Amino acid sequence: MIALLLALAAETGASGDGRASMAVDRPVSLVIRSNAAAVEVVRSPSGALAVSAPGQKIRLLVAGGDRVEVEFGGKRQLHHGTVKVELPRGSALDAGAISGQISVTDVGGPARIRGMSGDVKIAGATEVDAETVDGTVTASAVSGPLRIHTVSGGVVVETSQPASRLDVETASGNVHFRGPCGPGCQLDVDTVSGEVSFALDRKSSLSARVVSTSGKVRDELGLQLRRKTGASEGDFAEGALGAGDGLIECETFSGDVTFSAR
Amino acid sequence: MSCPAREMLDALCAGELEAGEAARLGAHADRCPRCGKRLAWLRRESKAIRAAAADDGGDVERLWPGVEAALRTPRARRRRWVLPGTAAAVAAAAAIAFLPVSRGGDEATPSAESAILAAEHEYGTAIATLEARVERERPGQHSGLGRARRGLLRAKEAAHRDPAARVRLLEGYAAYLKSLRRALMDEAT
Repeated sequence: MIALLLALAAETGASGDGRASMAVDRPVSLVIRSNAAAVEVVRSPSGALAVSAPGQKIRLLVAGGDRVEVEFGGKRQLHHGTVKVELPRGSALDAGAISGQISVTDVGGPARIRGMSGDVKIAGATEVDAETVDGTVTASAVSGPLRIHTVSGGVVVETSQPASRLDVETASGNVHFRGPCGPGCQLDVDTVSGEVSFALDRKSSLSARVVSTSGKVRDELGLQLRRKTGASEGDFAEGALGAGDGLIECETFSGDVTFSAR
Repeated sequence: MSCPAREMLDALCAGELEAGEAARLGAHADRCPRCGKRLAWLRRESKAIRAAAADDGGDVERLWPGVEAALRTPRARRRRWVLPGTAAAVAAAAAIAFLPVSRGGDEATPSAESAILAAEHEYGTAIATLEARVERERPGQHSGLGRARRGLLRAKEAAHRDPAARVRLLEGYAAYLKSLRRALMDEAT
């Protein structure tokens, strides 16, 4: 049914005035690609899918099922400028950019981002899978798992829910996590030289395992980190806060690791 | 002289430079700890690649289809703090899990190219450091790590200059680094 609705709508979705829209009766899966253009995605106030980019002839292509792809002047990638997208609540987003920034706000669905040098900001998603090379990734209010891999891009994650599941891997990007960590929480951060900080609520309940070959481990939270005996590999420490429900695992080669109170 | 670009060290290692240039870079690498480490790392890679090729009949290209097939297997979420033997297996799996997933055949931006080069250097330094420790402290105990390393080296050859493949390769380096750490920590875990 939705496919038919989309197909019908797609016929009228094309526009040469820099805007295209289609009525949909449920969340969609949107695919959008950018080179240097900024991509701004927000929740649609009307429930319709709408895409706008000044001066562009935009087409919304139904690619099967609920999948919709955006075409700019006959091309699948917008090279410059800004494209604004309004997505129905709960829609899935698959966005890619080379140097353009990507921001996703309050869509309330899963977001898969493949960036290179542009920064990525995601707020209000159910799941995040983001990769960049040197772009910074900032995520907040994500209810489900986050997987963030960068090469040198920084990573900032802020949450208010205690059961965060975070997988971060970076070569030299700095990583900052802010929020509680309790039952169901699993934070897994690996970096070679990036600085890592966990700013945690004092009411958090977690176990922490940290390894750093030459970086320093600072505990300003009261985890009572203890170095494991017999470990020849740098600074290997374990500690806990409260009942130790959640789990933080962090490995660095030369990056410092800091635990502090938020 | 200032530190040469990574490509120049690659060329030096591959014997592609003219004698005068090679001597000049070699002299710099002898004096510069950073470049010296980098060159040592590249030479070890080159040596291992040749050894791996010899083990398998001397044809690295012929090996790639098998590795590539394995690449199609999604990487399972790695289990943490595992025993070293298992860690080696995890590393081996991860080593072949850097997918040649294209970002559309895009060229890297200049800043991304710099970031990837720097990361390759950082992983190389970290791996060389921990490998030396493993060889010193756990001699002959972790053959699985060698297999993982050979897989990474083949992957490096295949990645060539494709930025997406090189980023995947960094993930393989990260997994290999983790397994080296596991190997060193086995008495503590």
